[in-house]
Amino acid sequence: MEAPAGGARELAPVSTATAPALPDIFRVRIASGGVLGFVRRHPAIATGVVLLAIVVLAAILAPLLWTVDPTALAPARRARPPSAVNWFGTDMLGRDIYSRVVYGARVSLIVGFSVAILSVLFGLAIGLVAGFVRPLESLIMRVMDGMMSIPPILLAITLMALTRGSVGNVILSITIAEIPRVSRLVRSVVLAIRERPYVEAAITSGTSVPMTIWRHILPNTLGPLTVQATHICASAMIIEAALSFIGAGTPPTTPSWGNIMAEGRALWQVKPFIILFPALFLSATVLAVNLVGDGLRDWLDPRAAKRV
Amino acid sequence: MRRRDFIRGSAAGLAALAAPRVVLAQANRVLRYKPNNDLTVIDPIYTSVFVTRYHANAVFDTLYGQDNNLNPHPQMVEGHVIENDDRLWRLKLRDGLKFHDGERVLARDAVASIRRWARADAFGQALMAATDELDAPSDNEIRFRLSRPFPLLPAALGKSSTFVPAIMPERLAKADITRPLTEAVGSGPYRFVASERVIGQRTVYEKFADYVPRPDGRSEYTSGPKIAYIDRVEWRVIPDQATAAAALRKGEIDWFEDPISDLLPMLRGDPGIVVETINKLGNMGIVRFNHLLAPFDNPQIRRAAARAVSQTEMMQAVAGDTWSDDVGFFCPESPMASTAGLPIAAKEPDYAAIKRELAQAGYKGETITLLGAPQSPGIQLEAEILNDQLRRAGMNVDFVLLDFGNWLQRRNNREAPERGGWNALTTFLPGQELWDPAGHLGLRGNKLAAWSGWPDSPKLEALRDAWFAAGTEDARRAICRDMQLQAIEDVPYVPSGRWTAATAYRKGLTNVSRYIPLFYNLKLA
Amino acid sequence: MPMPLLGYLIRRIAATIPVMVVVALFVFSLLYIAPGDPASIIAGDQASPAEIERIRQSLGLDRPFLIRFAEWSWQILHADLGTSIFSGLPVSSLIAQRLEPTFSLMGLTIVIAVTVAVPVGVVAAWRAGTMIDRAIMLFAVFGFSVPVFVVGYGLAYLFAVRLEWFPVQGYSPIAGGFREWLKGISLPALTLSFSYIALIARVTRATMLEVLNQDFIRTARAKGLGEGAVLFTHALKNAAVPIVTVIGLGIALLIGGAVVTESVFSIPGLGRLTVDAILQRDYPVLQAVVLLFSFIFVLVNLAVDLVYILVDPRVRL
Repeated sequence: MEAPAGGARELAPVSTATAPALPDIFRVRIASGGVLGFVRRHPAIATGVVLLAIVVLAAILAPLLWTVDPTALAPARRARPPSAVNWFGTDMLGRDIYSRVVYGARVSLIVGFSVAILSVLFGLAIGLVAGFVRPLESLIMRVMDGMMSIPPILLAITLMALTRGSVGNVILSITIAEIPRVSRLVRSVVLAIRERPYVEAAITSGTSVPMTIWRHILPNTLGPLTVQATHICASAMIIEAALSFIGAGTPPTTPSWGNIMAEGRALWQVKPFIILFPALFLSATVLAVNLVGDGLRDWLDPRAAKRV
Repeated sequence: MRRRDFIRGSAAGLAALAAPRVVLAQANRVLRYKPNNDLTVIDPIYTSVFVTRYHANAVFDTLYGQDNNLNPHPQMVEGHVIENDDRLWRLKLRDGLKFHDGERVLARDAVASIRRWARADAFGQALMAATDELDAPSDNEIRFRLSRPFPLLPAALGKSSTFVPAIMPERLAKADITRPLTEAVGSGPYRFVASERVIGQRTVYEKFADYVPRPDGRSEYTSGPKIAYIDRVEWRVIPDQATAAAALRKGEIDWFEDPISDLLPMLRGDPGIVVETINKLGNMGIVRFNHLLAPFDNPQIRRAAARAVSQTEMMQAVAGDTWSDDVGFFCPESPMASTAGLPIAAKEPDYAAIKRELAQAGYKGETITLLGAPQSPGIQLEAEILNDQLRRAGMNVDFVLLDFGNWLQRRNNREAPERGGWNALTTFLPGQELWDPAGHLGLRGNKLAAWSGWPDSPKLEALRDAWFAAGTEDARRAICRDMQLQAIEDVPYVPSGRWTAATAYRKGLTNVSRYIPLFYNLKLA
Repeated sequence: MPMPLLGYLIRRIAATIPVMVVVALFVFSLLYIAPGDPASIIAGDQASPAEIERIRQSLGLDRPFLIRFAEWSWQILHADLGTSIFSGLPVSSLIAQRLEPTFSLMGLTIVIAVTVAVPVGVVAAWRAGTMIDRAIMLFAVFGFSVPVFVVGYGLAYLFAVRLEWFPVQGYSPIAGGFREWLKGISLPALTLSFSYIALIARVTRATMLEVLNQDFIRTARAKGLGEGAVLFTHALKNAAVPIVTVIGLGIALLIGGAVVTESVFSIPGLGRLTVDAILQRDYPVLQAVVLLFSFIFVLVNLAVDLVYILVDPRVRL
């Protein structure tokens, strides 16, 4: 493979001008045009935001959306197909699936966003330190390796065993599992970028490390990190379902899309509606998150934007 | 006094079945069976897990067996003689019995096996409490010298519920009882093939060629001639219900032991599949209170709370459509069951009245820590309903969901809830275990030695002792009636209904046993 | 640079030992403080206090933490992984039985995921903003927005129950014939690869977009290179670091993350062994499995770092 030599030659020529400081981008982009103009230029972002807004609103306004108590049991009316009374049918304990799905939006969104935000913050910090502080790099990365090798399911069950099944434990265990992945990604970007001439030039000319990070590293990390964050957000909601599958997810008394599906999984052939509705909502939300994520990336990344 | 007393019914119906040798002529047949769980423990006297019981019944033989009505009949023993005012039992072993390692089955193997079993089993303990001496005067005679009559001796040595009084070689039976046996050598119709076992995937049994079936009697449940028609039995571990159903429909497995009730309509609709309820005794729901802690240390509060437990609701949630409510403390099919004092709770309880009763009894809004276990659907569904029912009765419930291992441990914690204890939980026992007081865990009132919940009821214990000593069936029935009334008074637990579960198998499978999956007498076309 | 590379390798491998010790100690103490007593689990639901006590004593679970940890470490140093609390079988043989199914599942999943995802991601980046790109990304989104058990049931229904191309469940060892092995492992691998295809395709597209926009690509195109050569040799090579990272992370994720797939298709893999061990508190099994995991993770990460060096020599050792 002639990669080493060729790669070196080709990667180098990126001028400082194409990596402007972050604040500039915001000013330039926001200034140009009103809401309508924005929507016209970024249909994907707009669709995503609207979809996401609907789900978030539904979660907030759950009690007003013709729902009943999502935990109210009615064993006599169990596993009924959708009807005028129970729009999405009832589950194994006769609870109203429509209400559970609407209220479930709260838990799933909280899980998804908390995990994404927490793991990106911690992962970014750790990745930056590992990328810039040479003496610590090896140590940090080995600890991350160790953390990563502990399956999230083990952490989830252990945390459940330590206390009890709860949303907080689900968030914590998925976050711990995601942090090393984010930090590795950040570190790999840092390693690639800090060798570029304009970054080296900046460092030699006395730019402080925080400023270097702010001006050069962050803008370049933002693209992959946004994609990663949206993926984490989406996958956290899915992992929550997998945890429910083995009984270590959010407790059934707190409906989430994951545990509604996990509870109805054995019946997917005979009572598909139990899985169908939460799956649709989850897919739509994941789609929205991704549209927003991709849109943000294009918007924040001037090179990508220039090309489109 | 000296009399020869073969157990009733044992002579009835001589073997109309084919002689065992005929079987060899048939082609190699393999049964692929999906058990409700993976077999992890192969020691028959170590765990109460169901699959270990199935395993025990396949690999080990017992001195007595049970017919379809759970009455005992001689199995490994030819018969017995009772002498000396019912205080001396002499059991004679059949000729030609062999263990899977090729050794002859001797009386001293049986004696050592009974001793091992009786250290763990409650019925066995009761038997040993009445036994002065147990020995093997010759290679084929087992002798019990009793301090008082124990008419249920054959029932004890022939039980098919946990723990099975499995007969094994003396060298194994004498091994340290605190450690599980890692070798399963029995004298039953099937041999455990240790080399092919893969934990989490399969367990294999092969027909034991040297097994000598009983020449007389009718093949019923664990009694009469046990004939292995199938050459090889493979247990396939399939943890997922939907997958197991698909595998059965495709013919990748022949028998799916435990389909959940909601899958049954689909399986019934498949022309190649038979759906049958083999265990008509089913499972019996149990709501257990912690008698050591307030507020359930107060019998009045327990009685009031018991009236909130609508069995109808419980069963609708747990069982789908094959259930009965208004059940008492014994399995409804048992001769020991009665309707005395029933029903305990109304189908639709008057929660306002219960609330008042609770207040009068002195309930001051203490928090009730209720344990749930999402990994065990039966326990969890009952707990969700109980949570709802107790709340409606005005109780302040903290519903704690735990993983199953944690649930099992926490249940044994006698401390206050803030130190890891509990106030209420739900579980269930097989109807077979609730057949009579002998193995009935829930009806014990021996406080700290009792099953978690630790009820203290000297009256229940005295009735149980009287039951073992009672000489006639009628006397035993009368005692069980009294036990039920006493239990309604003391509330060692609250019965929450009975449900049965169906099993599903391919059409070619015939002669499926009652109660639990047995592999002998079973035929595969 | 073989000498520094060799030194690097030795340093890295030496560094795995402390990692494994830390992981082992961490997991051991987590399990120690977590309630859940194997004795009550073995005894089952119908056990009396006396039976549980009998089992507890036999397991030696009443001894202090440090003594148990020391004993266990001593065993490990003597290459003895101990015996399972539940089955009484040696842990080493329990793990050995699971390696083949696990590596089969992982291997095929990675092969499927990479062969599908990388070209798809490249095409999506190349045709960014077009309908092809949108369709691919929409599929990728659905790929990971459907829980793996739903994907598994769906594929099993279509390909195993309806079309009868594959068995519904079970694993057939490679020694029993390649065809049978492939038949048995295909659906599980396909199921598991679903979300990885989505992930790898998205990362490939994102990094390719960055690269395609750089000057040297324009230079390459100006030099008259074919589109294929531009995309797959010049651009992909430069996008390789993040892609390889994600693939590496994917492998790491697969080992522990295949539990659900293994359950749906009844594959006796390490994932299920781990979960069963956790649920049963089978400490010796769990300890050994986690140790094995950390070892594999470290190796995979090492491999990933080596790939960095190969594709981008400026990454310092």
